[in-house]
Amino acid sequence: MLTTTDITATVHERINALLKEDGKPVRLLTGDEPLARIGLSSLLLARLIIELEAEFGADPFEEDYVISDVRTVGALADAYVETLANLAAAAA
Amino acid sequence: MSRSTAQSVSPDAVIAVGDRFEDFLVNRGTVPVSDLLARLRSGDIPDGLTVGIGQGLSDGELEEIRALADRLAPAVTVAKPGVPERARQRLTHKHDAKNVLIGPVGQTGEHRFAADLVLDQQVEVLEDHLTGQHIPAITLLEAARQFWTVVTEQFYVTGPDRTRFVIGSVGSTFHSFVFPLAATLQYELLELTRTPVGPVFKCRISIHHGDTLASVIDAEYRVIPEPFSVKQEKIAARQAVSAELTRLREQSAPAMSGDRVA
Repeated sequence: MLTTTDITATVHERINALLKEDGKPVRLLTGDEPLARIGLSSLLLARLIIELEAEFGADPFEEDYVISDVRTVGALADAYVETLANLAAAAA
Repeated sequence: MSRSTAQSVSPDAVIAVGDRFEDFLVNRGTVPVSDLLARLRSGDIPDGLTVGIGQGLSDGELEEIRALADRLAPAVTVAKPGVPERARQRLTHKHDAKNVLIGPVGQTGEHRFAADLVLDQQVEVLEDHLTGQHIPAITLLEAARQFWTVVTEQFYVTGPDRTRFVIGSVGSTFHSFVFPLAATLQYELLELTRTPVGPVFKCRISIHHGDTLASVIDAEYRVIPEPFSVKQEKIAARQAVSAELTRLREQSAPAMSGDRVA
């Protein structure tokens, strides 16, 4: 089972991969970065969510969250942590 | 001098225009397409008649003019460049054939393309909005949109993946009237940027009546892989609904005791 650290690392990695592909600077993410200011447009964010769904098998924004619930990179990672934990609990 | 009507003009040449363009049809030399077809079918036409194709004719009317002109030749000829066709409907992203506004697109230079304006008078953007003699600007904007869509689908976007075209910006200038006569559109690609969420196009479309530049439309649009566009829209729609529900709940929330009106 994926740990919080695993999930967070994957989210950071995918964000930086997209930023790099878009020609934007990449950086070591701490989680405090405001999501609106790291260089992800709404379309890039959509692509990120699709890729994370392929990775984790879950999309927090399908039902549980709206995008304004996640203001920071850390909050985005937490949304996946919580959604995956809920799915695991439901499956148990 | 006695008052002239369109029907008493010189029989050598007439311009066929959709019947709906009533105000324009007062101009000598124009003829409603229904009148022209009736006369061609009956053979009641002067020898040596040249027919110009204006705007507003349906596919069926165009086809019938083509067939009748062939049958009546050389008494009747259709003026160059002949009876127009419409662009392939699928390329314009329209569901209804009558809403296709342009002819097939040809390449005229590197990143330059041209097409005829070919309006059906039943087109959705004309059906409820026709004032005066000219073609409304909104109709020309839709023709431009179809034009850049066909150019992009036919010449730039390859592969089987489904995409969505999303407009980023449109700016337009209208220098002179476009009447329901022959007109052409020209496309010039100004910039093409590849991004991780699809290419972005900047183009300039000019609309010409003969040698007259009637209108210039600058557009920026993106071709997005459909899954990205669907997800983007889903996220945005849920956000919009959530924000509206919050607003409604705040509106209908009971007043706090300290706020009671004295």
